[in-house]
Amino acid sequence: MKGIMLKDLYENFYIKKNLASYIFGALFIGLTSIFIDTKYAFILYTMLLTIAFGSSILEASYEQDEKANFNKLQITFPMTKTEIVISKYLLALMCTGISALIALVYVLANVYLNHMVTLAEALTVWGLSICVSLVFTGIVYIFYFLLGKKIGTIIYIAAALILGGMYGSSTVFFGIESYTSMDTAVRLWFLLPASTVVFVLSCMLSILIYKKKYS
Amino acid sequence: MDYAIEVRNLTKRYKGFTLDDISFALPQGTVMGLIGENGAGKSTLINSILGIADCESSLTAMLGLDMKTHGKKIKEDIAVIFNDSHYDVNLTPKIIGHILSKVYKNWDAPLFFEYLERFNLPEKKKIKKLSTGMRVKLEFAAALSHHPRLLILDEATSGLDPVFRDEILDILREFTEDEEHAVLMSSHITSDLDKIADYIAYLHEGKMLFIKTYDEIRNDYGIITCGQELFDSLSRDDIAAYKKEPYSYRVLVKNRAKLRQVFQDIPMENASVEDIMLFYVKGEKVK
Repeated sequence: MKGIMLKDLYENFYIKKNLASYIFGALFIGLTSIFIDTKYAFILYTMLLTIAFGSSILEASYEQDEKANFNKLQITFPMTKTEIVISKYLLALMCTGISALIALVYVLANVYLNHMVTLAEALTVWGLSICVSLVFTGIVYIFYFLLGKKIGTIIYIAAALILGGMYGSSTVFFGIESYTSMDTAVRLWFLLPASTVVFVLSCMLSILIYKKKYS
Repeated sequence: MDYAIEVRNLTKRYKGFTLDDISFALPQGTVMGLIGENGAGKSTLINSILGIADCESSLTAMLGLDMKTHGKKIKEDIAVIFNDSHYDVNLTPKIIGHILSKVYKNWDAPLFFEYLERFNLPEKKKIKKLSTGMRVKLEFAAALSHHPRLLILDEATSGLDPVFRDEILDILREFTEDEEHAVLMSSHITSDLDKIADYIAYLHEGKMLFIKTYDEIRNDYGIITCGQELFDSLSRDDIAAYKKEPYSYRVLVKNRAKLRQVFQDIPMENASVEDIMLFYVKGEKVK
């Protein structure tokens, strides 16, 4: 599994065009967050920081795998088809973890440097972003495994737009405070395990799809 | 006898094509050439053996272990090379080596770099900048560097010029010098098999037409060019296939020694693997 994860990392960060898109994304989020320092933007950027990295790691590697028909070769490696899929999900989880840490630095900076939110509010938003990231990645990955890179990317963009729309409309209907309220903090005790379950179920479904695809 | 591959009653069904009840065994220390026209089922057979495609079989064993229960362990000891590189063309041989070092337990990095040097492969050059021949050489370097005991080649030498192919055949000869190693090699280039194969397995329209040792093929098969009278006098059992030409018959016979005793004076050519393939596919069968 380590070999497949390493290959995916190389494809994401060694290939210049993929690395450039990560740098561009990071710069965009970083720079705009400096100039737009509202609570609305704070929640949006926390979500973006956590979601974007973990969920997009498969996109680049899946594109390269399809181009080179690497799947055929990797089935000849000493690993099962289940392990191949799990390695993709593990890498996504690792990347989500790293991006969650980066997001944590961002939220803490907004607590102690910008004084925009309290620590409790910041951690609530951060926890929510992890839940959304796990669910988003879980859903998008199923489509990558089911429909391939091209349609998978369309679904990715569509899901991101829907998510953005949901965020925008929720702030209108429920108010921005709904994201930082104590109720939401309590709900996280349910939302975190639930999103983990969605992620695991997505992995199991992708294993079935992958096995069916290569049978 | 120890077998590198043992397959019994392997069947794989696709819409419009069936690989039908294939059984064969490849002894350790030998090379088996898998021949057949396009669409005969060679790649399907290899994919089925490797588990790339699911299939029905009463036994698919490699290196003495059942593929269904020991697939992972078996794959540590085998290497597969397809007709094109399946590595990302933006990566370099050095990176491929690094990745494979995490894939195979018995990866031998010094050996890999030794192969790169031997094949004149620049370790930091991207695959997309390597020629077709160099890419195939990289595949061989990658395949041989975890000390596999079984090598499976699926049209791996297609598209290579004769000089490169000859080098590859040298590598295969070296590989099979050790009795612990075996090669299953599907190829259109039957002249390569003439040089290296101990066994020839012939697939035709999803069925295994025959599996013979190369010596059996050389000793048993021959080609006679004859007229109607001689053709009629040949035993039908001795004729594998024939081609009717304007004023004669070209006959592929499968009992060369026996016929030589009966017809001592008739000229009889040796039949190459390619001749046999062409006769079976394009020739007519006696009724």
